[in-house]
Amino acid sequence: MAQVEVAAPALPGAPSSVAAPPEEERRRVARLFSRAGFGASVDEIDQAAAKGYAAAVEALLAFAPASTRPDELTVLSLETGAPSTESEAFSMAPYQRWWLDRMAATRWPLEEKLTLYWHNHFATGFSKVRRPKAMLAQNRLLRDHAGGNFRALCKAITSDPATLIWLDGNTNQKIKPNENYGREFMELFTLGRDRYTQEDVRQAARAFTGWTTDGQGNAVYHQEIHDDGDKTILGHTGKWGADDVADIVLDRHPEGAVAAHYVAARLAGFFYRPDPEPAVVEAMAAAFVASDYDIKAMVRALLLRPEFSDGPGLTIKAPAEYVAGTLRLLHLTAAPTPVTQPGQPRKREFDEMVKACNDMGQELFEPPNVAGWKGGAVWANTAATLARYNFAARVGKLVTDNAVRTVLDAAAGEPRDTAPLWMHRLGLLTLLPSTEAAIGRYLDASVAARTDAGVRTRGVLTLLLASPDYNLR
Amino acid sequence: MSEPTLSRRQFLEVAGGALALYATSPLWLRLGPAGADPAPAGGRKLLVVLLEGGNDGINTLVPYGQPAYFDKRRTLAYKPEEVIRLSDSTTVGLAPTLGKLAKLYEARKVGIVQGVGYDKPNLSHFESMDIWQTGSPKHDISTGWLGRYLDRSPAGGSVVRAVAVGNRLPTALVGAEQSGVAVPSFNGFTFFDGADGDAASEPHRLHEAFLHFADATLADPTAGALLRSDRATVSAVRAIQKLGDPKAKPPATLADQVSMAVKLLSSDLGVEIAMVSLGGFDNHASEKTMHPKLLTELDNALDTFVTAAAATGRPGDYLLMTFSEFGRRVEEDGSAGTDHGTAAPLFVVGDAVAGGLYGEQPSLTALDGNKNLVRTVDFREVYSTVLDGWLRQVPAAEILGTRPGDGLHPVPFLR
Repeated sequence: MAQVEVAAPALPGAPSSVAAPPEEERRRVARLFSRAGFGASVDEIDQAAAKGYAAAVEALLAFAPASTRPDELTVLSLETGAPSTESEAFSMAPYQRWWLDRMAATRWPLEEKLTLYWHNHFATGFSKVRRPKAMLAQNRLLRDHAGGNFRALCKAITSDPATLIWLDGNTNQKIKPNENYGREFMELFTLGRDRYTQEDVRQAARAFTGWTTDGQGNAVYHQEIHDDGDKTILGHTGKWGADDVADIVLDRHPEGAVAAHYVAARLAGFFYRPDPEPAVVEAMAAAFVASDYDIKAMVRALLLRPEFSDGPGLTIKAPAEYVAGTLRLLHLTAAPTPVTQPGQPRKREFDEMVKACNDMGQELFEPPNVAGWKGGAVWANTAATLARYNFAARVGKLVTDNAVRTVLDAAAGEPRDTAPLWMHRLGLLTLLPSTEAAIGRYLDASVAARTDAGVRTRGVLTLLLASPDYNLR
Repeated sequence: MSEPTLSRRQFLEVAGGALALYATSPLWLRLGPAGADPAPAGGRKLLVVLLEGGNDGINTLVPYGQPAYFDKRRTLAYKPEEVIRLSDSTTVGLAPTLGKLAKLYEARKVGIVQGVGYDKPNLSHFESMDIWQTGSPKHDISTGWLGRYLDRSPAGGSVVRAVAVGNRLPTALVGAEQSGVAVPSFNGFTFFDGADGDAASEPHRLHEAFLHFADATLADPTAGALLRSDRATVSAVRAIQKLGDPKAKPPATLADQVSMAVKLLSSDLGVEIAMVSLGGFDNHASEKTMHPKLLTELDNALDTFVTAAAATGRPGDYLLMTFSEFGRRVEEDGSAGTDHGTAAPLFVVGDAVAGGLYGEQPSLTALDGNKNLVRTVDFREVYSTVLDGWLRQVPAAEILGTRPGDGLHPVPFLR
């Protein structure tokens, strides 16, 4: 990570002058930004809270489809993320770095968060696809549909080249059907387990025939490999093709709005908490059906639920959220650290932010399997926790002397008083008593050991980044 | 394999001042007084090898005695002369790339349990994996079968009781209160800001504060998991740092993972259970280019296990078992691969194993409604053998919720 501070990202809907908003509104808005975005400083929270929670929700949702607007992040356009050397063409590292930076800098955090969600929902891994361009094209497709229509997204993903390679759609033909995509389309993308039969899988696989990839990794449709016979899917018989499977699964399931519930529950599990309350899922599914699968309508229903903004449930930030959010709040980038060794003129680059994210268990563009990252308590194991601590310690070391001096000056030179200032930067309104006590004891011991004020100031930042308060959302 | 020369050995200090002598992997030799054995399972160690994606059992233990094998696998079948014959069978043999395993089998160190699965098979990777890892065919509990063992058995003097090599913790090792720890590598399992052996150091002060973050009382179960992990991490890192070779590279192969696992199991931390894993078995297409390589990697790992267990001086204390979430369809698909299946063989390896074939090879023609194999052994019969015959601390029925009337019987693969 370069020690370069980039300009603070502007959040949508920030007013120029602010009256102190009520405490409850601040708390709800803080939670909204960390759950539906990548966090916000206390200043940003206060500005948004002054206009009210509902307005903050609408401001987050106000993005137009990515392909219809100029990209604000020209610096982070796909072109600059393109591999610069031959060897990088076979690695996703430049794109992982590019995406983390994009999450950190975007003006539309909910769009980027949804893109991350859909990457998890339609989990596709580079290790099998082996084409960085196809992975990137899928990422663009997911971003473009991030807040669009789920039906259109389902249809688009079926002929997405990376998906065709990943789930063997490219080998699925009339004379030799391959069940892989048919099964995962129903089990993981739309219906969930036990809402279809093995026979439905077989028939759907037949309907999906025709799409394949050419030698350049482009999706192509060949009528001659499509099985145009009758298929019976979920009880409905016809000469179904790929788009028909999506329509049947979404509209004609004999048990009703199964897909709406499945997608709502999965999305709530990611944005909100594992095992969301049935009433929350019900409200989301109802909004989804009423809007003919408008993603924003369903997300809005979630964000406006009182459980979401004010309930007792918690989850653990996903590694990408944790890393990108920290870069965002401390105005840092994921640009690799140049490593020069004495006597070795050639520079190497160490992608430490990408590596940190991988070590925490989330390698972007490389989910562990077709079901994506499970999330929730799965992020808490010793290897992942150690990686989080080590990231916090590294950021504590890498944050610029300037930033440390600014904080220390504002605390009138007293490291003990830097905690509230760092909390302000990180959007932490309060701390658990145990966290406060542990940091207090650290400072006492550091004072006794006569460490430098700068070291202590960095230590406080490290501990705040490693705290449960900052890792939970 | 010959003894390593002294020059290849390095000395390493371990906790308690005892000296451990070890060679670079895979050989590792522990000397010196063992002291009070902190392992409550009487020193018995279990290593579980997870094959992710659904291993093709039919092309692992090849049923060459059934003509249907050659009929239904036109491109994937091994030729009869390619199959490694077993001295006590005229119907099944091992895949050509399992040569080391075949030698161990003939040395009576390998049990092959055939046809392992469960009734009403589930063809979803994730549900079937959950069923195997939780030990519940109803898929109705969130803890793992070995996690429940940890919850219900005494920890004794153990610092770390169960370890997964890698940066994910498999559900099998997740308990309600006690869970295993994930260790990706020895040299990577360290604090970035430095070892904290010196209590007066800045890293130590920071680690102490981090440890005390776990004093929080949060009712939310996910938050509780995070706090438990904070606490476990500090103690596990402090303990495991003392074992590690600072120059050791992260494990690159399954055999490397096995070496690391045996090193952890044979340490004085009190580790009873370790898990390693190999992915890539979901071969829907071009299986012939993928699967033999995966089996080679497995073959090397099983051989490494036997060598490493012998090098501890107590090979009889180490038991290895493999599993995968399911096998594959009998008939190959149209892409020279195989779709999701059901029952498959699994291997148990070690000096404590009474080598041979167990269970029955399922018929390749009397299939279930999805044209899949019908299991002959319930996976809980294997688990209960391991729990009651090997770990012996908590009755298998208590962990698996099985009843006498379920018709489940131990598989007598332990000596």
